[in-house]
Amino acid sequence: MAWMAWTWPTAVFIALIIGAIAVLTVMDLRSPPVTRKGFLPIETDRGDRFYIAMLGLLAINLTWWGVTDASPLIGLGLSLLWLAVTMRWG
Amino acid sequence: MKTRNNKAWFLVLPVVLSVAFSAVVPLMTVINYSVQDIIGPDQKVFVGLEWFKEVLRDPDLHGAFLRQLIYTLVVLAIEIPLGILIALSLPARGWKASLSLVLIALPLLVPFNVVGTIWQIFGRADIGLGGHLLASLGLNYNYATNPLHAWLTVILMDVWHWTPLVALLCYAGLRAIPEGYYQAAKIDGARAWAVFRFIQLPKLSGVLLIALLLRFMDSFMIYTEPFVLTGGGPGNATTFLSIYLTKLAVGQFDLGPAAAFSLVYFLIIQVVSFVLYTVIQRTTNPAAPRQDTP
Repeated sequence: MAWMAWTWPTAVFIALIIGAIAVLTVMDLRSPPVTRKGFLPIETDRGDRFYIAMLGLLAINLTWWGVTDASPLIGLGLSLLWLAVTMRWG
Repeated sequence: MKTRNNKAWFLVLPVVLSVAFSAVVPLMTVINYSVQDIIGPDQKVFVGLEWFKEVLRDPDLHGAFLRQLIYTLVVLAIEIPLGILIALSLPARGWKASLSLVLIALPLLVPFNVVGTIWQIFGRADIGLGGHLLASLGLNYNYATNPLHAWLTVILMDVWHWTPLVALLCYAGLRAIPEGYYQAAKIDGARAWAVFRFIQLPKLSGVLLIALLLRFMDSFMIYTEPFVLTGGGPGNATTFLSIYLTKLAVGQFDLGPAAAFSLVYFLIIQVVSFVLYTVIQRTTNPAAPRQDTP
């Protein structure tokens, strides 16, 4: 595995994503996904909302790193807020 | 009690494994590379978000992104209407239809690097037919030194190579329209434009959006043809995102910034493809409720 050049921060990041997918899979098996219409312009189930939220999360963080030298934790906080809002009301 | 048959999972296992080894593992490696300065195979220094900040603020990358956006919009604006026009003008059946389809599909069979070489030779004034014709008309055409000429050649090359795909998709879509629609239009005395506007175009919306999605992804990631033709020049005139990425990763061996840039590039493709896919679903099946497997 050395050729993959692992670091702790990236390992945690990837583990979180894999963990989230695993949790969603278990949730889907326990209770079938239900589509609904929130503030997003399309009907979504929880998997769709997670995918859209993740794309937005990455976009927010990348934009933050690209335009400002302020702490990346602020960008991370904003993106986590977006994740929570999308999953709840998206 | 309803029982589940989980044997289907084994059927998708080969795909899951191949995707894991061909896409997921390399993607994880790219993520790992994006936060490190790769000095050598065993020499790596963790740099955090440094490469992301660097590439996102790089004016050369902004320039490549702008060129890529303009290029993609221009080729889509030409190829989609032209593909529809060609499909509409093709014979509907018989040997003429078969012959036309074979001839139209020929450019799609040419390998990417050969397409670049064909147009490189074709555009040269000394040995190429196209370049020679333009020179004989008194035009000082040179794609190697004039950015406008380089752009025109790259766009023309892409249109020649990929419009057939759009035309074939549209042709298939047109053939799938039931004859009854045309008969009803004839009874109503509809003109050709009305038939196109109210029957053919709505019925083509599904294949058109698939064509749009495929052509967007392909043109946004174009590398081989312009690289063979111009090498990204003159200057940086035809340095699109993939060419810029290759220069960064292979030319300068800056694997860290190249990995960070790859992830940004990947995200852009993901977002736009997702938006287009959503539009496809809504356009082709606007009223039907979504099918969720319990």
